[in-house]
Amino acid sequence: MCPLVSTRALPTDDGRQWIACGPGEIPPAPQYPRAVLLDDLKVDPDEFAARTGWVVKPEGACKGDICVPLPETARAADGRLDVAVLAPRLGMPLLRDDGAGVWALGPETGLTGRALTTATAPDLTLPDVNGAPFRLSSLRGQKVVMVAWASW
Amino acid sequence: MALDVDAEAAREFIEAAHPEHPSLVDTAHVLDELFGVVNVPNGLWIDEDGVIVRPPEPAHPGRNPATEAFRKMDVTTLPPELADVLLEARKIRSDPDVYVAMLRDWAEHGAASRFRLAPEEVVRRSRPRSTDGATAAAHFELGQHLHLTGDHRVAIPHWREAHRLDPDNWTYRRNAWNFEDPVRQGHTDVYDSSWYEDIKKIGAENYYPPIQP
Repeated sequence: MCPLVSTRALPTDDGRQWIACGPGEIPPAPQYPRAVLLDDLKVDPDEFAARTGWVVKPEGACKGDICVPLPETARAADGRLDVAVLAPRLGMPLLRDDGAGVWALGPETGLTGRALTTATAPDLTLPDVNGAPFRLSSLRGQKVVMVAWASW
Repeated sequence: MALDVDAEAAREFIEAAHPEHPSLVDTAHVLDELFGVVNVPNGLWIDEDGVIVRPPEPAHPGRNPATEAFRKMDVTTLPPELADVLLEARKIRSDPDVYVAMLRDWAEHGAASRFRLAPEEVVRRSRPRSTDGATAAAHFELGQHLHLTGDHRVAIPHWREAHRLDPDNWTYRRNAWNFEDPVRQGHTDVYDSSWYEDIKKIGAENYYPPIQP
């Protein structure tokens, strides 16, 4: 599966290996990219993959057919990943609230330079007003109109 | 989906509407990060196969109740500063008839609707995302987390940064302003701007981009 719907030429001098979809190909649909909140910059690789979509393999951090080479410092001796090392290489802003001791790992800048890198809808899960989670993919098979509104 | 950091703020509207459809709360404004939403109301369409066929755009349901209310209000009864806000707000344009007509066409014709966009066009029309925009999203999420875990005060510097880094995002600004000056979202000493100041800069007629069918 390819991660990018584009016929645009991609950069070749930034150390990453980009592979584009062909016309009509639809990439897989994750809930990311969105910000991730962390209280520790050392994270379990499976947790990192679940929350960001980036899977760390021998060839680097990979999402779809894109792999970004990583230095040895990206993984600690206990196998956990160092987000401080990964973040700049994946193009994800990393910021901290010192008082609360919480980091926010921002979404990567889209591969197309757009909010959407693919037309495949992410499998979003949000709560209702009582906190019960609802999964967007549960509506598969129906036309869906998502309307963003606000009390303000 | 209510883009409200405070879910309880959305409750009275949801309960008054008695919706038969799922009605959710997006406290972190993830619709902004995932889809490129920057204002409300915005709509996006997803087909039966889970493919987005129209990215976010202004989505008024056949009418714009806010502008209708603005036009009915008697400006002569208002103090000058509020009169100025009302006169500017009256310039807001939207295309409620166009949006509903497109929606009805898609409901009837599905994949054959001329308003259903190809995947490449959906991506092309979606909002540009920069590193600053991604950083703004991180600041906004961190701010809403800090607010929801009990300390509104420490959320403010993050929301200020979100506003600075993503100056075209109205949801980040308006939700934050509303905590300090509900409804009017006027100037306070907490933020550098207000709804009226920012909308005057761009002209209220540009608050919503025109729909491109």
